[in-house]
Amino acid sequence: MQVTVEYAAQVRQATGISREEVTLAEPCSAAELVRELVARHGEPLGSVLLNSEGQPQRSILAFLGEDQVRLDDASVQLADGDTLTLLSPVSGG
Amino acid sequence: MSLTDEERAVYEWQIWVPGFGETGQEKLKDSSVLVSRVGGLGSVVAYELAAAGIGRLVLAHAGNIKPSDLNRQLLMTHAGLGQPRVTSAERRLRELNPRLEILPVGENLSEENAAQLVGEVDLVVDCAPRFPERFAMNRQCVRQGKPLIECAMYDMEAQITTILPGQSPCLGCLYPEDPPAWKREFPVFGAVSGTVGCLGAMEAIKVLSGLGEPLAGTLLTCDLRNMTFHRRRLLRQPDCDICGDAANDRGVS
Repeated sequence: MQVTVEYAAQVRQATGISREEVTLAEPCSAAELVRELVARHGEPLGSVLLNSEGQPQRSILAFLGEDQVRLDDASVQLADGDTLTLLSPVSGG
Repeated sequence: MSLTDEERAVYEWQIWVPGFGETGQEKLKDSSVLVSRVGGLGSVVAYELAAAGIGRLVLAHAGNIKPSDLNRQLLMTHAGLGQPRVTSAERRLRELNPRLEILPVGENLSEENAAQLVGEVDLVVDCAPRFPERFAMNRQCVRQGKPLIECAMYDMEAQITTILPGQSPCLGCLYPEDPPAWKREFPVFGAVSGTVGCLGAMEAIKVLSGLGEPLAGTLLTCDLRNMTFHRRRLLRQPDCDICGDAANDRGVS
């Protein structure tokens, strides 16, 4: 199946791209996709998206379509054609 | 408080906005807003609110004007380099609106002064660069039941949401912990901070006057590289330390 991943703010900076199509051999959860993306891109994406225990950072915002999802919720499964957007926190200045 | 003839003349064009009118203008006149930092975002928020006829502004920002402020901090001037930012901000705002009451505070918002500063006003606009500052603001706004407009930017991107305590997710729902990768200095254009500042000021005007629909529970994300705007629905987190079920049971909020 194929999903679209969009990157914003520092996640975009870490990958150097704003979006990509990802082909997956089998259905997976949003968190599993994040770990797959880190495996493909390596650093610095790894330290932006994952904590020292390899779990998704709690401060990364994830949206399936336009709806926020929790990356620690294993019930969030991706379907063919879905778009997952990953945003890092930003602030003022 | 009713409007003077001068105020009716100054605000005539916005009083014509359907649903706002003279009643909306009177609400703005009776309102007070804390703008936490008057940098790239906060300068524009404060300027737009001063132009719109807000009654009272509390401006919190430490430090003196640096050359690197001048690409975006529109209340600062080249002539003011080395002088306190809040002094420059106060002077520029008074030039625009001499009726405006201003409380300039030459320090940044912190855990120590957050309760007092938030207690001074009806609504807060968060334009601060550091997350501990933003979390302190959020905690106090939730505790005191004050609306909080969250403005943020990076590069050519913008994010904005409005937190209505008890009705929408709070900043702690979005970010349960201090983002480890965030650095307080980052790439940005003044036109990006100005865009977010105008959006933030409009949200403040809407919430204070009861006009339109604020972004409560919705994160507006803007990518100005390709002018893509999204309205994204946010989740309220029952386990939020600030506004979640356990926090409510403890009487935190």
